[in-house]
Amino acid sequence: MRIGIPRALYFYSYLPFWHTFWTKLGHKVIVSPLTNKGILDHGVKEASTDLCVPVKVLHGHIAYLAAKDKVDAIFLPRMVNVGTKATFCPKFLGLPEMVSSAFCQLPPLIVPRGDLGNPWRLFDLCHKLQRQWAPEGSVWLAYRAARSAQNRFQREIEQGRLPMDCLHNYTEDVPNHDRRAIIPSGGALRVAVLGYPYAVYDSFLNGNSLKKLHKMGVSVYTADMVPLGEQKRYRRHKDLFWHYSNVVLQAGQVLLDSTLKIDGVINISNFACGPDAMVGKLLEFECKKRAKPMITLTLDEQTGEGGINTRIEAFVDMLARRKDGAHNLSLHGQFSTGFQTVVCRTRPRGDCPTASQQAHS
Amino acid sequence: MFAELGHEVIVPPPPSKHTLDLVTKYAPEFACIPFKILLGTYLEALALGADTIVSTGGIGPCRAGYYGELHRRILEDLGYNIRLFIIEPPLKRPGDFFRTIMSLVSNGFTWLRFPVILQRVWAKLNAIDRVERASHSIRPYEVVKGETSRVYESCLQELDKACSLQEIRDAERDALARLASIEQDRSRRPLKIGLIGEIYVVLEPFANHNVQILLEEMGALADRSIYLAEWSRGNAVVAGEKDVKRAARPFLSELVGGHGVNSIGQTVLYAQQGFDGVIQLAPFACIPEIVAKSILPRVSRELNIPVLTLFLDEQTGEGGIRTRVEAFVDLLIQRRNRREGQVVWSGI
Ligand code: SF4
Ligand code: SF4
Repeated sequence: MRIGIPRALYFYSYLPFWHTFWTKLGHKVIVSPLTNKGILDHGVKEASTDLCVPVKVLHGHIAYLAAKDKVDAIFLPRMVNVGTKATFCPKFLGLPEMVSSAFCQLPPLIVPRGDLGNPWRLFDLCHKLQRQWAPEGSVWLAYRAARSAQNRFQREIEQGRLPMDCLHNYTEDVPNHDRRAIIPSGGALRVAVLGYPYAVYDSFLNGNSLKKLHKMGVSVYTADMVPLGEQKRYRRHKDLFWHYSNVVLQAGQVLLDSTLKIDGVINISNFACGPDAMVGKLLEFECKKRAKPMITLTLDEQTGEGGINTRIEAFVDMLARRKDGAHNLSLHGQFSTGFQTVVCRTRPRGDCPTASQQAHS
Repeated sequence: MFAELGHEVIVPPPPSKHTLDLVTKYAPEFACIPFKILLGTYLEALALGADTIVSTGGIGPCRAGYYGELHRRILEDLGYNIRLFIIEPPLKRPGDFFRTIMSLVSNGFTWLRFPVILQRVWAKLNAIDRVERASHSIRPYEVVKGETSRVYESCLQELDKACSLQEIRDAERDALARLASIEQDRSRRPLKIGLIGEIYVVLEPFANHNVQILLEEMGALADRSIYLAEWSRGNAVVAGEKDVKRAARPFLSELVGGHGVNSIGQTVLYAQQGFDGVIQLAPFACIPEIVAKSILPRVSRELNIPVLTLFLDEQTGEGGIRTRVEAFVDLLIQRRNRREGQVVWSGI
């Protein structure tokens, strides 16, 4: 059987696991390509207008897989929990239903419920999937291989490589032979790029900002490079409810307090994302407390590389000047408070409230 | 309630445009409108000299549960030195609930009075709810436009003055009688429209631009799925609402927080009860309602009930809402006429 996996949302974190798992069970896995204009446009067309961009992008990837008889089934687990008490964003919880309401014709969806409080649950889930979809396969072998693939992936990321550079074993991407990590040693500027994996690593969506930073000689740190164990130290009295949001916040604080001497924070958020409104504000407070400049880039479906690049350049310039000893510089002019929120979009917000009518008579 | 606990209570003015102007500066752009209105209300109360704020915290998985925390940090950041008490619903964490109340209780107050006060607050809430319901069932039939609203306003003032249980009961009886005596045209056949969505914007007329009254003055019978007392009962004290969740199951089996599942379930129930249409009210960028909205087309298709979704934020104008609602009502009337194969007088 050919199983399709959309390269969107949580697959930026868990693709190695599920790819290996299905392959070991003898299925052919087809991963949708990196997000491109066609996929994005498709997603925008199919998805409900008020959704956040990443979920629209997911719709685009689903549309890609569903077209032209590419796959026999699409794998889209309902991710609920991965053992951190927090659940995923409600949009993840309602994902299968949203997707199936949006399309009239889809290959069958495989939608197990990923309530993975402990490793046993994960094994259990795998077992169920194996019984249903590959009765002759061996769940144990597949599970073990999948785990080790995932661990390897995690390690590579913690060493400072970017997920998109480690995924070519699982996808049809052109392998990147440049094995260098994105964190060069030396006295370069260090910037923490904080945001959800599916926004930070989707280079189409964010106008390739990571590579851009890299080219400018900036060392980039992302939330996923911080091991989960360290993040836990920053749990707060009342944690947020969403897994990825907590990761961003906690890892952000780890990075800010670490010996790395982070120079500034780029917060990548998404247009119309609910949790981000909270995360952004809290991050801002954390940065303020430590007197670190932060800039917020809000992505939407019309984000252009140009707009983002200018912002990033200006921000990095400011950091460089600040580092050169001209500390007081940051107290004047454009970055008067050291905080800046930039919404990179061209669509006017004026057309709210968005209303739509569905009537069938 | 807190006045009776021995504090001077500053009741902030009802939310207004000014409230929102205050907030837009400090709140994150995509925070939901309830968050912004609450923050604005706090700021107004602080300007009036309040030093302690009591508010309710929700439980997840939605942003409302985190409001208090973030509000406090924003206010602190603005340099206010205040005590912000967040009351969690008593069933979930009884300990916390009573500790918060305890720390608020000033000297010279006897615990014995506590149940009495609760009872009174409760009775008033319920009375207001009933009077309000009555007004909604009468308004679509009123002969003189706007009369119901006028009578209702003055009834509310009476109710507000009532203190003892007896007075509350009398005021309620009075109010109901006055409402019933409004001149009505019972030959109308109003459309039946259900209002669903996120609790705050459904309940707060300021946030939804009085959509319910707007509808009723157009001659439609609007049924609001949520009332204040009912909600406090359903969500804050006993966990209920099983039917709604069951109705939603075929379309959405996972709880998505907020009122997402309820919105779906109530649409299903309205469809089963033969309503002509449903209007979903949601704060802009509200996560659960967006999930619901993306699924509603399917419900609408399969159960043959039209749905209009209105997303509300501080930039929403009353005019915009009015045009959309009017268009929707027109569409429902046409639909009904077509179904009945004849042109009937529609009440607009
Ligand atoms: S966390 Fe934000 S961006 Fe992610 S799915 Fe939820 S609303 Fe969308
Ligand atoms: S349900 Fe909607 S309005 Fe309420 S907290 Fe959640 S996102 Fe905000």
